[in-house]
Amino acid sequence: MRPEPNILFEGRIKASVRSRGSGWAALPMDEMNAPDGTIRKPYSMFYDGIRGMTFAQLNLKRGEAARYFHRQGITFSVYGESAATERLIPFDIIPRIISSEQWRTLESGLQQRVCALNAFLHDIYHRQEILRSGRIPSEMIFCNPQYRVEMHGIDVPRDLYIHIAGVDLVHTGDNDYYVLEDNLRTPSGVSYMLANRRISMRLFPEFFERQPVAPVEHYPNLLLDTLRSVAPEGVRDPRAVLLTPGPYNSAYFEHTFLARQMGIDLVEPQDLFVRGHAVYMRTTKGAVRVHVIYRRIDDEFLDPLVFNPDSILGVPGLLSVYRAGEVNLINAVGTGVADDKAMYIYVPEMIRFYLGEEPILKNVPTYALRNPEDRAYVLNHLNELVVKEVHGSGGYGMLVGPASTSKEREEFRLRILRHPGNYIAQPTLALSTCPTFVETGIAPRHIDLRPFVLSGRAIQIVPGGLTRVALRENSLVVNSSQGGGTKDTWVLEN
Amino acid sequence: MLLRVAEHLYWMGRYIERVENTSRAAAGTYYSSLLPSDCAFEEWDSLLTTLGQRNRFPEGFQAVSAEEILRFVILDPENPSSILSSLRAARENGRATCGTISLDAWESLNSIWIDLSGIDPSRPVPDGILPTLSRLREGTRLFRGVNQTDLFRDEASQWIGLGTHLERADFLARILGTRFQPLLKNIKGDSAYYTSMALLRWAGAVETYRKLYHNGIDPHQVVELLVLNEEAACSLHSCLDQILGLSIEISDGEDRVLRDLVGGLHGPFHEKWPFRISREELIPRLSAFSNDINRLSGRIAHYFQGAVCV
Repeated sequence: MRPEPNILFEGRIKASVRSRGSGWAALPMDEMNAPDGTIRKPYSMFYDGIRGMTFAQLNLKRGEAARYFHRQGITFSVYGESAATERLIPFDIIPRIISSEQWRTLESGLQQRVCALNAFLHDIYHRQEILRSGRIPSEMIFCNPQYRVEMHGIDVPRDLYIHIAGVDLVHTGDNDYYVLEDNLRTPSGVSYMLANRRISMRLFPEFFERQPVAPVEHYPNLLLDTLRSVAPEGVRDPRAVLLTPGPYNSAYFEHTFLARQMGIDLVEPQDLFVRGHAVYMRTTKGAVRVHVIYRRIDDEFLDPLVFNPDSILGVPGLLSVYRAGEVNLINAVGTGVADDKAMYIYVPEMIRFYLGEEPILKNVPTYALRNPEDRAYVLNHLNELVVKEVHGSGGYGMLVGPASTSKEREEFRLRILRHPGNYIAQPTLALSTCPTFVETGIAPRHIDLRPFVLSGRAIQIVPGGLTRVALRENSLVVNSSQGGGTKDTWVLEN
Repeated sequence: MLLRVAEHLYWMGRYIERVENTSRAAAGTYYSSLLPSDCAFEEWDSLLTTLGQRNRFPEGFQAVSAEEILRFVILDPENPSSILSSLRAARENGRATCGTISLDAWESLNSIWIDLSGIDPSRPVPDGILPTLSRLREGTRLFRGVNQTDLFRDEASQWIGLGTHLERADFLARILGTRFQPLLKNIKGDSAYYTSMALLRWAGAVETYRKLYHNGIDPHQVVELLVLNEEAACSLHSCLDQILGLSIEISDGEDRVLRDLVGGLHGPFHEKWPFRISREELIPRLSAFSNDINRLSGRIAHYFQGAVCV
């Protein structure tokens, strides 16, 4: 019988494959393999444990994980496919491991960033000092479709707008983490973070026995605490609910999962109604008052009386109760103005302005195409850059220059010239790679990281977050809608 | 509990019961059709009539194989009363009751779905029809067991119970309606035995019958068990008892229309109805009964529209 190939060996050879991206920081770092051929410290125990395993053993574990996700119905729906289509997000059994020192830096950086973003939202919906100081051009706010004039002068509990943020980070060098984008509306993915931990403890209990990995399971508890801490003033025992658009939403699994873990009701818009100055839900025992709504519905669909009158998702009158302070919405209405890709450029400036500190986390150098100089440069270097729509998300509406055809670039050039303000461009980042179990064995694949930052009584972050992985060789697109998968993220405890 | 969740639980209960009923009836029919008899046509006919799908095979059953009919009954996604369709509906309702049924219960429901929906309906069933149906019933029974273990006696189990018993009563009334005539055609001899056994099998009442009656299989006793017995889960009377109790608990006894409807259905059983189980008496009674069940479903739907709320 032929011996099983040593998969790690293959992985180490492949780790030397370089990104085809060019320009800024072309060489990706690998999370496990250092350039000198040694194993990085956070991975040493894991490496020792897995080096003796065969392909067949790992394949069994992969099968076990797929069955677990399938049986639990941990699926998502894909836009553009029939409503009945449910797909599994591929889970890679090899974790991404972060040292405790590195996590501490990330944690303070994230706290600082979200704190400044909250201060910014409070400011632009009140005194607008940052505009008066000239640090951000006024038209960036007032011409932004995500700026909600309805929020102007409205006070929200604890002055908090972003209660849940998902900040996408990429790792490019030993201590270099860059923020790729801030998701401040209804960031998703946290249920996968929790499910991934559950399954990796089933697959690799021995690794958890051997070294302490910071737990994440209490996230729903922190989330519930956050929701209750921002209830309208004077409510002693607030009732929180999770508002979902319904079973055909791509993140429905996550909505059911979080509601279940928090022990709160998962409501659909038709379950809620407004009477007088309060929001109620329809129960078998009559109307029950609701104080906090963790809504997983975009602003535009919340209330047909204020926003989109054709929306069948909304709760008529919800906004007037919200503005009167009798119910709180999580996240607040109007946070979108702070997380589009054009506003991203100004976040470091917000940190300096509101906190008087230097940013701990770096921003990716970004060209704003509304600016003629930047535009001229970008149009001449389309094959090197990534161009993104200011309001796009989910990996849609973007051009990855080095991977594009000349026809695609030409199309994008015309789109940019038509609406330059709709686009930004960034250098192709050399996202770090992480060993990943693929069809041929263990090979490096590009990853990013989305930690979830909760703001209530305090700013709290469970260690780690969701690691997304681009499963196709050399691909940099990690979005689940575009062939990405996920990994468990271990933050080691000392 | 959210009114919408109550509705999903009620329908989940109904559809799971429908999956079990249809799978018992399908297995029973298949089994009967394998026995040497000239009644195979009647067997298939009453199965499809009970399921409301008689028109699917207008040419009769000569040209089609048993497996083809069974695939239609079990696996056809286009057939709204197929087991697959009922199971899909049960699962969708279960999925929408987040946090009410336990994760284990959901997982067991999802597993039955993964198993059945993985079978290609256009090809012969790989493990054979009867083993597939047995596995399916094991799955639904496991699901019920998990549910009973995990839910304490609260509103959720009441809504599931209401759906379950209403569906069962409806099914019993239907099968008695379609199988009663052939049953009383021959009340003696081997053929009486086989038609009685077929009915008991459809109703899942073979063992209950054997426990209760020690004088062998008798068509009159079969009907007596399925209609009048107060204790057995497989009788109309006991279903009505359950529906009465549950509908009072659910509405706190305040929905007068609901109470009167259930009372009207339940009352006759205590008036020793029917005194004589004869063709003349029972058939019109059963068809009126089915209509009343439909009215009761309608009243429950009205309840879900939130009449109690605003």
